[in-house]
Amino acid sequence: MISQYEGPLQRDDVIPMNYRLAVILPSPFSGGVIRSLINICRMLVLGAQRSGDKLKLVVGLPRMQGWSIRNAEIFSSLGIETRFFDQKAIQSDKLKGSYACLGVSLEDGIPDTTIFFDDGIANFEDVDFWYLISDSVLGPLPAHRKYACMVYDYANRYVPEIFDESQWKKFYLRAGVATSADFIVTTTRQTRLDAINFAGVNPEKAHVFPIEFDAIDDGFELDTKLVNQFDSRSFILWPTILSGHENHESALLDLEIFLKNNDLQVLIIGRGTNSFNPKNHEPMVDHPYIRRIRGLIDSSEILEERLIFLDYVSDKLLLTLMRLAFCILHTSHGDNGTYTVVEAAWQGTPAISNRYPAMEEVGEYFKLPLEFFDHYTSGSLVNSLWHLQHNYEDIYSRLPSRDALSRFSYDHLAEKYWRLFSANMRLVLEG
Amino acid sequence: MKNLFTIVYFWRPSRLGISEGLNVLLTDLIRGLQANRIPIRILTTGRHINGLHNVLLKNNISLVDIEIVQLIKGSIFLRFKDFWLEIRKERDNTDKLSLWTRIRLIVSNLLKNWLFWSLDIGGYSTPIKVLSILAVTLLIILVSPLLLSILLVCKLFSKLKAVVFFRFRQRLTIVVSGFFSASAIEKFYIFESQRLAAAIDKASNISSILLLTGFDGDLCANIRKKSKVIVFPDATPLLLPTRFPGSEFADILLRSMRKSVKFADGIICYSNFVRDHQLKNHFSTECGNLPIKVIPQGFFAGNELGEINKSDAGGLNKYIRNYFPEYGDLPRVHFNEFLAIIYPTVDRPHKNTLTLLRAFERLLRQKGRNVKLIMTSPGGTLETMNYIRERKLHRDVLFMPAVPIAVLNQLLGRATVMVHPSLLEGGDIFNFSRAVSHNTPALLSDILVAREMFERNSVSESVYEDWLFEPTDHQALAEKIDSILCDRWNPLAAQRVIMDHLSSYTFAKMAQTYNDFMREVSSKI
Repeated sequence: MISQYEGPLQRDDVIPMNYRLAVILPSPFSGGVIRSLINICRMLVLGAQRSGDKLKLVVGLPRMQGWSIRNAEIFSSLGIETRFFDQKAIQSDKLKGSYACLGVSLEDGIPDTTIFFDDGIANFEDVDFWYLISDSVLGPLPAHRKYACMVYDYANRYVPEIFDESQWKKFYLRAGVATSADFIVTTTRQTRLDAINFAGVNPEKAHVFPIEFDAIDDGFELDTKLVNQFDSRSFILWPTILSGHENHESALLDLEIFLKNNDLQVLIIGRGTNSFNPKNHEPMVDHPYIRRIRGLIDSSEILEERLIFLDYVSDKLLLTLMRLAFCILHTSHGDNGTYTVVEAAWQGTPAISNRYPAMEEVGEYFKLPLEFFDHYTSGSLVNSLWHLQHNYEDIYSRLPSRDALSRFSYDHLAEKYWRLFSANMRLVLEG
Repeated sequence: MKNLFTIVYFWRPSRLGISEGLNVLLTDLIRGLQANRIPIRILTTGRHINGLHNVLLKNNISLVDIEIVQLIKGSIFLRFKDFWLEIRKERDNTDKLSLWTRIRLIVSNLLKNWLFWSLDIGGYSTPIKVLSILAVTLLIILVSPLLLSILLVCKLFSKLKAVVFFRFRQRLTIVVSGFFSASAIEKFYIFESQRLAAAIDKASNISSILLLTGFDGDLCANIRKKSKVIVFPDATPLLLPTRFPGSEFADILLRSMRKSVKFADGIICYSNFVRDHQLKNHFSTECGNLPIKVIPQGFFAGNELGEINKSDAGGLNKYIRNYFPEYGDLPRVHFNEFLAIIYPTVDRPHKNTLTLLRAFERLLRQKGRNVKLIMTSPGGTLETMNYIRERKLHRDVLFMPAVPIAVLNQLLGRATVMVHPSLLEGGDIFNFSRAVSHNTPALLSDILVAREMFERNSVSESVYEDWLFEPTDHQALAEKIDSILCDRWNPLAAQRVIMDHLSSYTFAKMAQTYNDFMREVSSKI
């Protein structure tokens, strides 16, 4: 089990709370982080409603963030206000006067510049508390603001190559956003430890909140075109991104061996991943790492033949692919794990994952029969795929039921999440 | 005459880090002598006396029965050189405003305040303000020609400064560097050694002395009337010459060691390994038939010395140094939140830190262990620092140099495992005993001195071989560390049993052997 939160949980009074909260996504994201943002907002609003508390929720999105109509509808139905903003810097000297009146101590000095979220309205100063969804802020936030921060991962601690030199030189700023937060939230123990031991967050302020997931098939129908194109269990679905911590190289080398002995295909999905396709002459990203992977695929007849690059796919397509896939492949390392294996289990598809602490936690928490491999050991993925192939029925039968998984849906966890979050927020705001 | 054990506290720098090996030897020896109630006299110079006091104080040494004698004042030049280097180091580490800038800021603030005060006309103070404005205006008119001329001269001067001063500074730097070159400093050191030697010879109440290192050849050569025992710690550079490419200073040290051995009356080595593979092998002509005694370092016996400091973990942060400022400030470290691997050492080319770093990286990144590596070295060798920089380990490898022994013990007590990967050591690896006596299991590289330490104490190979690792195999080392991270109690229990046996050889026994050997040598002269 993921460790149970041990912070303030019990409400010691019955006076309803009345807060204005801004949930801010500091930089543009896609995929898992957006889903996490939506679920968090849902849990906060539903949790507050069910607890009899009043919550005015404002969501801040960076101006460059792509935002679907469906997402807008979800927020609208929950009465959530959405504002778009630009991250801007201001000389801290210009805030000194305000700081003095707001009781901010200047004894330890203040940074030269401060980042704020310019929404053209109130810069989110009209709310009581900020909840940053990720620490991807370009510098320290105004010292008078109280905020919490969701920390997803510090994958660069484990795969330093995913940052270039300039990113490493600025990393202390990102770490500073987490250490200056009034509390941080993680979804795995591993990330909590990374936040403490790598970023320097005070352990008393680092909390593990429950992982929620959203069964995205509500209201969706399968993509019939795709159903006709691929036979059931005829391909491995590999959702990935353009980052070195996804260990594409070692995974491809093993896949090359594995694919020789069967007819399976590998469908690669994820924004920009068509850049790995050597037949794509206009890759989205031109980077030595991408070139290396393209070269590797190009040099292998079997990989070139069996890999299919779909790049970004819609939720509907993703759902269909998950249901049809032989298995889901998760190859990354050092991050916060993935929801995809849970979503796949919901669709009745098993998953193979690289073994690392966060994924072990995810597997344990959702009671998933994950097949693990060790990407540092050549041939390990081959063995795991082979094992899955030969024990498919057994592993399939051990997948958790939808009833069991729905206990982790945002709807089920909403009250708990709100209680945890609001108790901590209240401690910060009221002492 | 009282039977005093006389130690000479004298070396090239005016101060040495308090947990520097030589100071550790000194304090351990003093503790042992005190346990045997042997009165101690320490001879030193005015240049070293403050550092000596600091070492004794910070290492909780009782000054009872210690007589500290300042025999000479010490070289003013060497003192100035160390002072200057210290200032430069401090200046490099701080970015405080210069005195001139501070004065300018104060004056400009005063002027601004006066101006706004005087322009705020109204009320009873108006006449005073008007008068003060008039007075200042008059003053400005009167002194303006003078001010203008000063300004002009300053402008001219600053232009000249760019040319003349730059050249002057360049030449001055060359002259100063010439003065501070190793050979020039050595000359001053030789003169100082000669004066100290003469003072020692002159002192009627001294019959024999102990020199803590073999690096003070000129001191040893110039003491003619007293019996001299030197400690020959090791001659590591001779075994790995390409790892220690010759420098002016290294050559000086080697010459100095040769001289020490030649003029000593007795030699102490910490191990048979050093005696047989280094002293007798490389200094055979000089040591001839001199009495040589192997006296291993006493085993650290833990609590009996009352050294365990229970201070809070947060307080340890002040000892952490950031050697990679280009990546910003280091985070605050929460010492209770990770498993620590510790390597107490000063990193040098034979310390094999790279293997440990590789093993550490494997544990952190491949195995996902919640670990940090603590090094007590003031920075590291080029390859150590480059590896940390290239592999971006600067937030997970903590440098905590020059910590007091009490803090070192605290760090050892907190660590999950102590690893000593060094390729060469001069004697028993006292990190082993120090770690185990603080309930931290130890892993040592499989080198001759490590084996000698166990075998001398009749520990069978089957018992100790599990604690040794092939020094160049980082994967094997990672596996060994990992097995201890998963279960530290079993190896610790085994090591504690050995430790109970080893600890019968205490600092007191070691000190008694030193004392006996000093007497033996002295009686032969």
